Amino acid sequence: MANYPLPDDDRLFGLIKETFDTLPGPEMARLNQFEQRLNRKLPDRKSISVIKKIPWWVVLMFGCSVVAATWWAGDILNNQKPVQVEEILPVESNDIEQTNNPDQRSINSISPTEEDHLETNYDDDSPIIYQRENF
Amino acid sequence: MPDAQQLLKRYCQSDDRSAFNTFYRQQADRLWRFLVARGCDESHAYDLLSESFLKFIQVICKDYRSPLALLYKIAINLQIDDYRRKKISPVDIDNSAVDNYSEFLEESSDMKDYVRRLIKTLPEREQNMLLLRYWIGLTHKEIAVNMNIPEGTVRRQCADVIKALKQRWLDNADG
Repeated sequence: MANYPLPDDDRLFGLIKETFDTLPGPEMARLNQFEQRLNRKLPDRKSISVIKKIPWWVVLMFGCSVVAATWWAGDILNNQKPVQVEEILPVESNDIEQTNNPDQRSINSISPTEEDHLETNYDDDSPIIYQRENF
Repeated sequence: MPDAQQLLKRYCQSDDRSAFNTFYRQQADRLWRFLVARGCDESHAYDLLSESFLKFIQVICKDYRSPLALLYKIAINLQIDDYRRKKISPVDIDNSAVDNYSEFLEESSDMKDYVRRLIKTLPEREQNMLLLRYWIGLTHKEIAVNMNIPEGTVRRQCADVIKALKQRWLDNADG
């Protein structure tokens, strides 16, 4: 049966360290292999440290200029002339029909003098093939 | 020889990869032994070691004041996750039954083996604390950060672990 005398505290602490330090170690080839793989996966600290090195006042100036530009752009947009909305007045139904049918409008809007002119100038070569007679 | 904190400061601030490599060479060997001492089989200890360092490099530059505490915390957490997945305990003997660990201790070949076996009879959490404090050499404060408990609690628990270890030593000597 193992019957070792109980060591004092210092000896016990030393013994714990010694015990685990003398355990069989790993294969160095495997550790080196992994070291190479780890090196490839190490994050690039340069770009991160460059960002961290930017002085605070540069960041502040950049922030202020962005705010000023936003304010200025907002001011310009606000000063643009507002779009004028035409007021649509109510119209009578006859007027709407005339507006919608330009041919009808042209016929109705012919004045008596124009009718006379048309009658006077009537000939076979005219493109008008039918014309309402005046009664 | 520069300490771990200085090496990682150089890596994080100046992108000095050789400093990180030096840190790796200083720590990889001992971390592997730690994982094996905590019950991990040798081939799987390599996997956990690599995984621990991969996680470590992702977070170390956020705060490099206690790199060893962080590295071992990652390794311990990975090992716990691994055991949960495998559903086995790192200590495969019943700690509550003195007779069982007496037999276990009787098989020790020398005093170092006896100490190692004696420590293995402690609960997992106490083993971690003992190894981190008296082997790896973390301070009480670093262990407190590692285990998320107050520093005073760590001091008291470390003293309790040593007391328990001594008691088991005496019990076995008497028995």
